[in-house]
Amino acid sequence: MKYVRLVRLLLKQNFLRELNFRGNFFLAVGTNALWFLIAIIFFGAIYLQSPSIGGWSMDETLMLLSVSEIVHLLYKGLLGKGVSRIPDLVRTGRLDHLLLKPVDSQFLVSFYRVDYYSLISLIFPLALFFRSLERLTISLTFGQMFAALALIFGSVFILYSVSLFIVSLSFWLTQVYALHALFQEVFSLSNYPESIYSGLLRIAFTFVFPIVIIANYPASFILHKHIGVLWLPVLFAVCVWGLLARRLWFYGLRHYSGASS
Amino acid sequence: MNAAIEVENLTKTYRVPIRRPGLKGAIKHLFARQYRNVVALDRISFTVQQGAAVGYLGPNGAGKTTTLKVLSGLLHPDEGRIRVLGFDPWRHEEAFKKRIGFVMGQKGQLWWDLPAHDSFELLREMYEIPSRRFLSTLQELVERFSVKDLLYVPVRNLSLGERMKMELIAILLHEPQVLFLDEPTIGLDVMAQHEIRLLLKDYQKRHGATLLLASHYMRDVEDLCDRILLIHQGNILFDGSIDEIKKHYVPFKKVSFTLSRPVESEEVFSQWGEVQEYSGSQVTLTVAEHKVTQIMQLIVTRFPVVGVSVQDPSLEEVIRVAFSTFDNGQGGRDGVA
Amino acid sequence: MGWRKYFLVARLSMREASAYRVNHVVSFIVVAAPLIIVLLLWETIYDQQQKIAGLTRSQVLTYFILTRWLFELTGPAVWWEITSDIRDGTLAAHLLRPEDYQAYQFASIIGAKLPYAVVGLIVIFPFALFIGEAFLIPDSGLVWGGFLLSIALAMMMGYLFTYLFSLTAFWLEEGRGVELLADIAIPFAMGSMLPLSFLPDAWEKFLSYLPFQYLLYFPVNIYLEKLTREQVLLGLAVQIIWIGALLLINKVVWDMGLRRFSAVGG
Repeated sequence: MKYVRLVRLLLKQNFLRELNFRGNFFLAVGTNALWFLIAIIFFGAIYLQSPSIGGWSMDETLMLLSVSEIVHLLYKGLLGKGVSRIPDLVRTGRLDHLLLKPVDSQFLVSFYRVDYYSLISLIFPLALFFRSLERLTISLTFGQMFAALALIFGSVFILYSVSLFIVSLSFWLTQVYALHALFQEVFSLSNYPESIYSGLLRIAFTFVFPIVIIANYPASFILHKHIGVLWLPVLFAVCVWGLLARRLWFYGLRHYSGASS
Repeated sequence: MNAAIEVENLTKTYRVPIRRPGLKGAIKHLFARQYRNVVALDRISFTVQQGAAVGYLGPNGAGKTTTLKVLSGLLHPDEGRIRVLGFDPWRHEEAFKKRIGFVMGQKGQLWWDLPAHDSFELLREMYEIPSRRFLSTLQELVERFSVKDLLYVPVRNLSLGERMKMELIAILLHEPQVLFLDEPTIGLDVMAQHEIRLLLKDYQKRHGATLLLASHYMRDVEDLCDRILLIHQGNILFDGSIDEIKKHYVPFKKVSFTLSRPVESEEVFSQWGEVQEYSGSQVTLTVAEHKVTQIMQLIVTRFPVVGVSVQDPSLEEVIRVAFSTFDNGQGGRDGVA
Repeated sequence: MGWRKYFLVARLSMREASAYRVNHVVSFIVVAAPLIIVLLLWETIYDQQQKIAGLTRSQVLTYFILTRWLFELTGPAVWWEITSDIRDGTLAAHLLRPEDYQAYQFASIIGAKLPYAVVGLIVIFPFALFIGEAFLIPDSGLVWGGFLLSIALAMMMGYLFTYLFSLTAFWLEEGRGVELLADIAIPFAMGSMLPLSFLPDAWEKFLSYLPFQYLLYFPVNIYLEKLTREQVLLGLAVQIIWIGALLLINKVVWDMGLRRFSAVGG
């Protein structure tokens, strides 16, 4: 299919671009590493003083942390850069070129940039992930691994859809940056165990800001090998947020008038 | 011959927020926005035949870019029926997009850090151009534009003129049948402007493409177009060939005579036309267009004329007259030079 | 002594921050909103135990609400206005005027922060309500006095660090490395991620030699009445010493930087 070939080509072009572009590998990967390290120290320090957080042991929480970081880095690496360019493209009118192409505009804008530094930084959470699996003596069957991956990619898609939704507001608002930063900060807390949420807040953080879903659900599945009826909220979030984002994007295009008249 | 572009009653209005100054204004703006309506296009209608090259002229804010954007599907009109190559641009069909191209003066699409060739590859994939076709088109364009050695140079290392040529190639790669151009030569030096015009004209001739060009460089329009649409404040003032427009607004020509012997008084000439220049042996008159031949004969028989030249009013002058006539409330019939 | 002009700068900066940088206020709200999730976490942590790492549940919850507010006031950063002045040469204009650039920036930066201080209190108020009686309010005038004094000193310290970090622009083309430190490592050392008493003893000891905890951890500890009178006085003295040291360091760095600035032909 044309879109598969396009993704491959975009991956390749972005890679070449990264080589030509004088970016700083060590700084970028180092930043990701430092953030991750601080997060580990954060939880490590808590567990030094207390054996559990709402029933989650240290190894379980660290596994959750690694899953959360994997989801975030996958999003940032594959789609994040494309999405965060949108307000600028709208402002300068350079979005026009992408809109004229005989390719789905949402697809093109999202995949246009790939952040290889984020993808490379995946080695850190992956290392922690596998170490946690070992310490928890968890082994997954092939089918379970597949399901876990599906949940993780579902989470990436949800994170992407929410971000796209927020960023699409830049068709109308000029100050989207602050709102976008809010969502990013809230979503960065997806590495907190779900047992801290209850009642109304739990519903809010599952369905409105789906931060519980994007990391806790895959992690829970890996821990308990069973997710039962919780597939429903995942499906719900994937479909609803996916549709909302796409709808808002196209609605925004209708109102987009470019940089000059 | 089929119409490539059909526009009927195209109307587009923008809602522009009104901002008031000061802190109170800023707060009010947050809660109760006020807008004013700017009519960019007011029931415009015109048709362009396949293979024609039409120039769209008008001052800034007249609606030129808006029209191009509506025709290419970037903007949704409030009213009107538009067909480009039989398609409704707003439906964004892939088949439609593969047949049009849009040259935007200042906005480039090539990836800055990579050679143009890589961006071309991406375009090939997006437009699904078959390999062989792509290679031959690319070869042809690259040779005509004489940028063969620059294909593998990162775009950021190219000069402005070279970059523009690459951007143009990028748009022509899929051999569009309709080309929209918005200030294609803006910012370029005179040589580069000339080159771009030649290349565009060449492409148009060989591919029979339809051109719709919006520009405020007269030379762009003169070199490329046979027909002009004058647009001002959302309305079409005039639709006709360059000659027609000149005759309509500035039905005069400048006739210059060089004399072998100076003539004493200039009043003598003023009976035939307005004297623009008089320096003894050189006289320039502005003469009503339909009287040129007649007056030329008269003067040549009466005076020792050794050289004559007839000059059309410049397009720029004509346009200026056209717009000022409109602004002065007149229909525009009796323009005066 | 020409102090009046710095006061005017501060006032102008305040007005600017209030009127035009509405998005800065929004930014502050942005930073405060995740606070609810943080509070939920700590409530859960204190589910089983009454006291962890020397803090009660109420103290910890109050801690996070306070630090979220205080961090905006005292946290050092790399200040864009200074780095751009240096990198694009507009600093030259300032050098020609009879002003002290450090004092000028002090007035400007503090002037910008004061509206946040007020808005910030309004923003964290609902969170204080959210935790209800867990939100501690000291009833000793001395505690309040010590707290407010330490904040003032911390703001001064924070500003001096900001200035110092920004001066690296004289030598570095790209500030990203310094920002890294300022955005990640230093806030952690300040105690903004979690109270430093949670860390292993050796780490806590090490961090206590660094000045950063005096920007956040120390003032909040005064408020939570975790310090004896002697410790408070000692801490205040340390803050003053650091201020003195920084004034000196900044002067030296500034002079070095200026020499380089004129050499490069700013």
